[in-house]
Amino acid sequence: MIEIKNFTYGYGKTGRCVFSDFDFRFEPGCVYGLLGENGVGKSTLLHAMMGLLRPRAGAIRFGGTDVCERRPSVLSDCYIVPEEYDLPRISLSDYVRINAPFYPKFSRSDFERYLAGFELPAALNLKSLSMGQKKKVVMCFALATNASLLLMDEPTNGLDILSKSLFRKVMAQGMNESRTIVISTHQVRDVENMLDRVVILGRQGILFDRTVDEAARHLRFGIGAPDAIFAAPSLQGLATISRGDGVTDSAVNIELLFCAVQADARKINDCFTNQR
Amino acid sequence: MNDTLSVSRIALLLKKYYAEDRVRVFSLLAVTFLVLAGCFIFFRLVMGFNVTAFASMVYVVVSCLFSLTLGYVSAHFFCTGQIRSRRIAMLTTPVSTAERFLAAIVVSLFGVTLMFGVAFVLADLVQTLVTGGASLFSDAELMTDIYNKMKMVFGNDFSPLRFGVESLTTGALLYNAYFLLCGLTFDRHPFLIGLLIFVAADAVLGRVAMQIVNPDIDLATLATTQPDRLPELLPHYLGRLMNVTRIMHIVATVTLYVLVFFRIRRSQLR
Repeated sequence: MIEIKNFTYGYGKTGRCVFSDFDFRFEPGCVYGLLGENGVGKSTLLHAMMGLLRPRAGAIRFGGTDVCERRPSVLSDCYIVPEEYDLPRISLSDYVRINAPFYPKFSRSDFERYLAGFELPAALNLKSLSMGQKKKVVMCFALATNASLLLMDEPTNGLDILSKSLFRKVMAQGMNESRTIVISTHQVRDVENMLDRVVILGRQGILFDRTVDEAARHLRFGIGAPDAIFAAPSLQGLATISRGDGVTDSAVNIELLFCAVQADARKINDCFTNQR
Repeated sequence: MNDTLSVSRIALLLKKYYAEDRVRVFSLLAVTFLVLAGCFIFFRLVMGFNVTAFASMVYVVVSCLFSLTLGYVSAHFFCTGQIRSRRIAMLTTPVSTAERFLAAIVVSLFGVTLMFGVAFVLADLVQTLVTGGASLFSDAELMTDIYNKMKMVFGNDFSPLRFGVESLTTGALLYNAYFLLCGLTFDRHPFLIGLLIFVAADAVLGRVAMQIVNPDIDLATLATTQPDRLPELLPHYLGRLMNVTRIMHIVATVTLYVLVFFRIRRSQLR
C-alpha cells in the first residue's frame, strides 16, 4: 500500500536528522495510531507521506509510485487532515462544488451522511465556523473523497466532548477494507477504541509496532498487579502492565502502554516474543 | 489518469483560484489596471501621442506588470512563503506541477491583457472628456495615421498581433522567467543580484551579438575614421543585429522557462 524505504529526512541542509534509514509499511484495511513524544517526527512523517517533503535519501512509495513525483493520480487517492486548517471564506456547497471534481471517488451522498454524523447542516458558510467546526467539515470531506490513504494529524484537537464521541462514530462509518487511516495524536483516549494497530515512534525509530489485538493478548492491563513489568500511579491506584498469557484478552490502556514503551521499550516488546 | 497535463484540471484549478481567492484576484486586476491606466492617461494627456514613446512604454510597463503578476500568482499556486495550513491545502490539490505553472501563466496573461484593453479605452475616454478632442476609436483618419506611424517604426509587416507576440517573446517573458529564476535561486536580495547579473550578461551578450553580426565592423572606429559611411552602413548593421538578438532572446526565454519549471518543481518540496 504505502511503503517507506530507507527514509532519511532532516530540516534544512545540515539540520538534525528526524528520520534516518527509516523503513515501514502501512497496509490497507487498517487504522494506525501513530504515537510519540513531541518532536519525534509524527507530523513530518505524515507530510512526507503526502509528498510535501523531499527526503535526503530513500523513498516513500504509494502503490509503487514515489510520492515526491506528486502525480495527480496519487494525490487524488490520498488526503491529509492537518492539525490546523484554513478554509476559504465561501459556502460549504461552493467548497464541495469546486474541490470535489479533483477526487474521482468523491461521493456527495457519503459527504452528507458524514455531515449528519457530526450533526452539521449542509447549508454552512465556512467563514463563520469555529476551528472545531472547520475540522469536522474537513474530516467529512476527507472521508467522502474515498481516498485509499487518509492521514489525520491531531484530529480531535479543538473538538468538544460530544464531537469527540461523534468523531469515533463517523470514523467507524468511513472505514473499509481498502482504506488505510493513519491517526497521529497525543489524545490517545479519544481514539483508542478505533485503532487496529499502534505504532510508537521514538528518536531512534519505531519503538513499538503491534496490533491492538496482540497487545490485548500479550499484555495484561490492571491495577496493582504484583507481577507488573511497568506501573504508574492513577486515580484508581497503581496502574500496571504485566505479561499476558497470549490467549486471554485484556482491555488495552494505550496511554499506559505508551508510558511503558517510553520507559523501557525492550521490556514491553519482549512480552510478545518470550511467552511464559 | 493523465498525470502530466490535463486541460480540465487546469480549468478546475483556475475555477478554484477564482472562487476561493476572489479578493486576491480582484486586487491583482485592480493594481494592474491602476498602473496601466495611470501610464496611459499620463501618456495621452501629458506627452501627446508619440508612437515611438508609446511603444517603448508598452514594452517596459507590460513586461514589468506581466512579471509581477506571474510571480505573484505563481507564489500562490506553489505556496512559496504561505502559512502552513494553506500551503498543505494547496500543495495536496491533485494537479501536476506543469498544470500549476500553466495556470499561473494563463491568469497573468489574461489579467494583464484584459486590463491593458480596459485601461486603453479608459485613457481614450479621459482624453476625449478632458481635451474635447477626437477619440482614437471614433476618428478613423487618426487611427489610420497611427497605424501608418506604427508601420514606420516596426516595419511594413507590422500588425497588432505580431506586435503583441514580439513584445512578449522578446521582452516580458524573458524578464519574467529571469527574475522568477533569481527569486527561486537566491534567498537574499534576489532582485538586486538578478539586476547586477542581468547588466553584466547583457553587456557580454550584446558584444557576442555584435561579433556574430559582423566582426569586421567596429562602429566606434568607423564613426571616428569614416563618419561619412556611417549612415550607409548603420541601417543594414542594426537590422542584422536585431535579428540576432531576437533569436538569442527566444532561445534565452525558452531556456530560462525550462530552468524555472525545474527549479519551481523542486522548491515546492521542503
